[in-house]
Amino acid sequence: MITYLMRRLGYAAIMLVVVSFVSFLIIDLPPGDYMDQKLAELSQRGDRSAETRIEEYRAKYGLDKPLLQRYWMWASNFVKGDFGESFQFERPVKDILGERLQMTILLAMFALAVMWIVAIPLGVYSAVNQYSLGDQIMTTIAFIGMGMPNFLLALLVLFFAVVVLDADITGLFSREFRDAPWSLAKAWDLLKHMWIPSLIAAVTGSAGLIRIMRANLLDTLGMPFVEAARARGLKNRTVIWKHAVRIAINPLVVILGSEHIPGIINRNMLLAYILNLPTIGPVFIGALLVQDSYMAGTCLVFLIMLTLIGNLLADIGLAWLDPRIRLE
Amino acid sequence: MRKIAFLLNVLVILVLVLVACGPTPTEAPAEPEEPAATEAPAEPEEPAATEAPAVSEHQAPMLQELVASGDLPPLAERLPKDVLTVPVVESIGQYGGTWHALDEDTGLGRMKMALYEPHIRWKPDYTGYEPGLVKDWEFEDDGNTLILHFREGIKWSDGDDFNMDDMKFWWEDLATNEDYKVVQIPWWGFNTDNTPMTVEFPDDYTMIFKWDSPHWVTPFTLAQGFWEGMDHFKPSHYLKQFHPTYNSDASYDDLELADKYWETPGYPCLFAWCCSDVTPGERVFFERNPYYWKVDPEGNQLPYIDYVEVDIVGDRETRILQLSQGKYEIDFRGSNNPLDIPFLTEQAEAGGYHLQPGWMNGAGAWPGWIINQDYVPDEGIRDLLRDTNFRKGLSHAMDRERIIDVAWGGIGTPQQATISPQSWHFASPEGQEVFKAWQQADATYDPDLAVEYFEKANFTDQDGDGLRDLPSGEPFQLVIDMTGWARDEIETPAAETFRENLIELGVDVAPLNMVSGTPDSSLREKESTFMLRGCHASEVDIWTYPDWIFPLRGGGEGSRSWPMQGKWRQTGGAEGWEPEPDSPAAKLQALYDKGMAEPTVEGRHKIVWEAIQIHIDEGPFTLGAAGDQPMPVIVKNNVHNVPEFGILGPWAPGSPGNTNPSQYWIEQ
Repeated sequence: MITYLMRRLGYAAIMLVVVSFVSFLIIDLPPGDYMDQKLAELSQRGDRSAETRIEEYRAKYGLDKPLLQRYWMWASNFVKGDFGESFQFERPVKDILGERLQMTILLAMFALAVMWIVAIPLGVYSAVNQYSLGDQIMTTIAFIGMGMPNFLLALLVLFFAVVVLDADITGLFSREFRDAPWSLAKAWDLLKHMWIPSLIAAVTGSAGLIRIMRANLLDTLGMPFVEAARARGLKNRTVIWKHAVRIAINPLVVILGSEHIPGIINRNMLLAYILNLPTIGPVFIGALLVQDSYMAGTCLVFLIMLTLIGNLLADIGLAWLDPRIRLE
Repeated sequence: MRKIAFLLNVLVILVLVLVACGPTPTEAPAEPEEPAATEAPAEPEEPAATEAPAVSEHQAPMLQELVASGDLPPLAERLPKDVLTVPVVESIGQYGGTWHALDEDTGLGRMKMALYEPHIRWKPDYTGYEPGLVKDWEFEDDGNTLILHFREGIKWSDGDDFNMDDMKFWWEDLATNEDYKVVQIPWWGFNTDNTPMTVEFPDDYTMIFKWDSPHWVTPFTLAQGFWEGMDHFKPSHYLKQFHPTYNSDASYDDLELADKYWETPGYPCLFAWCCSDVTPGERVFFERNPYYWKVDPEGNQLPYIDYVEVDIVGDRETRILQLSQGKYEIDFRGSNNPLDIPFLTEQAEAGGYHLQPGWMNGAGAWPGWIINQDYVPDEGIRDLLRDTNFRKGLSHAMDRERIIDVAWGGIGTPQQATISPQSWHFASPEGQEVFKAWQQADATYDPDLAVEYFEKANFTDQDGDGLRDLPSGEPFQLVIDMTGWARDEIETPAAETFRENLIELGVDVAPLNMVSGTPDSSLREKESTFMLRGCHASEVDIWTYPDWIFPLRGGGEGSRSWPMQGKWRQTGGAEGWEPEPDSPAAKLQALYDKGMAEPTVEGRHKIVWEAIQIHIDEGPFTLGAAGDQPMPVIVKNNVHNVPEFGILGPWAPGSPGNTNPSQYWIEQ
């Protein structure tokens, strides 16, 4: 077990270096750099004094150096916990991400909880009552949810909420609570704002889970050991939940590890951008759009780290859930 | 199954824990009225209060309380000797309230436009300039010496005196300091031999600039947006603690991080509101400056509004939805798009706001297309683009009415590309005539005339494929760069419509879609490899920002139609191409020199007209489709004193800053 873990972590470290280099390279591929854009923007606005400063900024951020040197500079500092400076914010990347980390995790966990709580029972229901009216309705909703990108749904819900309900829905807090210390009222206000991103994330995220749960459980329900359990006279409930679901849930655990854990950063990125949520997603998008290399690179590295960790956790979790699986 | 339930439980508990220990709010913004109010009357044992001088009522209640409790000197001591009286737009206001404002990014560019206090400022009606922090200015030595007289007795928001120590700090410790790159000598601060100008400080309130050539335009340059002047006003008493010269523990990185007046809480400022709290990337909070140096006509200290709270919202659609809910008291650039006017008007009643009439974009071309006169890759194409007949043909081939219908839904005036119609160069009747002539130059839709011009340019179909070829017989395809400068949603349909117009006349056209804001398009500009380049043209004063008329700079550095000939001029002949004698570029560069040496404003207006005549006769050098669209400016119904005229397209006049936001007020 220990050697297995060590080996996996060793691979992960190598992977991290390779992927971070490739992503740094890709961010750098388009011609020009952030400062070209900044200069263009300033000169369109009429700022003539900006030109004199732009080369200095380039030197300051190391943009005048070759790619390899820049990567080394950034990567070697990264290990020491210095992620470089964001060009757009003109502040250390660490500060910007740090401020947003808590809300990002909170929101992701909340959405995840909603998704799973919705998806598992519905998936089981659909499988057990295959082709019933309830299953048909669920299937329809699930397909819409899978087919529709969450940012589009977000725009529709936003428009509806604003124009029809006149609700205050962007951000995570109302104005009066933003600076207030934590209280029941503030928590309630947070919940009032959180239902929109959670609902959207649940509709678009649960859909796939429901389908997978349903398909797997249907497979499992046809297996001889289920039949054997039934033949032994066990209650239907017990057969389904204790024998069948337990086997059928394995793919969901894999998804949890490999998709949902790294998804903390990027899963609802566009959704967060549209809803103006103070999470990492919108910053990440912005950084990619304008070639804010150190910011984008740092987000990517964390994304990869979470993916690697998530996969590892999924494997360990599976071994724990299902005694037939062994870690070698 | 128990394990799954366990997993779920863990998730739920995690979420609850996270909610409970969510971010502790960064210090709630102080509400000074509350503690002061409860403390003041609760002390009956002090009968001396009756003897104390009455607190002036010409200041905000929140300040009256601070004065009464002794935490702030009385108003008379806070106002400068040379106080600036600001006329009010409609009425004397009430004190109080919070102006909730919107911005797009952390640079807070839009908010700075409302806050900034320049040396000299644009008048609210754009007819010229008026004193700001500088109460008057004079020239000596044929324009080689500029003397700026600052207002006496102005104080920073923390009560420290503003005087020439601060300006000296800017010039000696920042601008001319080789080790600090963030603040540099301004681009106009050099002699002809590229040595820095001389700056002198004869007394506490006078600053003198000396060059070896006339700089008649420089006072107006100082009024340009927030970017020209704001670098000069540094609170030296505050910044010295971060400056390595004065504090050996500090580094220039510390200085750079601290020297951001728009996001450093407690940074002493000279504005109506100063930064008091910040959540980076989300929100910035500004509080009134108790030492603000402006009063209304009744002697009430400005600003009227207590606080400004700026939300940073990156997504445009979200901003528009929030605006439509009436969440922001006054907004100038949150939408920035005339196409939003119908939706915002529809929601106005429910949102409790109205669209302020009279606010224009000031566009002389929106969209327009810069025609490259210095196309680098191919000489034959360059010659065609330089042929006046070809360019006039393009202009007559354009169905401007249709572009306005397709791209703008009918908003705007069909016209040739100009600078802003509201420009002060055109204020006189003579100026109006020049403007009309320019606006209408070759702006009619006349395909037959276009064909005539094309034939004069020898731009005909030689190989019989139905498409016109270069005079040399080589096939030719006109590439139109869509850059996003004039907004993608306008530029794309406009370019497409123009393409249809041209294809009917046998011109092969390829619109090239650059994703807006990507470096590709700036690279094509820098290397002068574009033919037609989408743009938005506007400017109120051409001398402080000459590029729309005069070719002075190289590609990627502000050049418009002459990237290489501008480069030649910019580098003093070291790079680029020398303009041929009697070519438009040569004539325009000569006129610019003449203008720079001309001491009077009227004289300079006349030179602008001369230059425009070249653009009319030998142009167009920028093709214009439409111009002068109205802009959606949102004002809540309980807000007063926002004027009913303004220009938002060109940033140089610093709107809305020039309309004195300190005299806006909110009904309490």
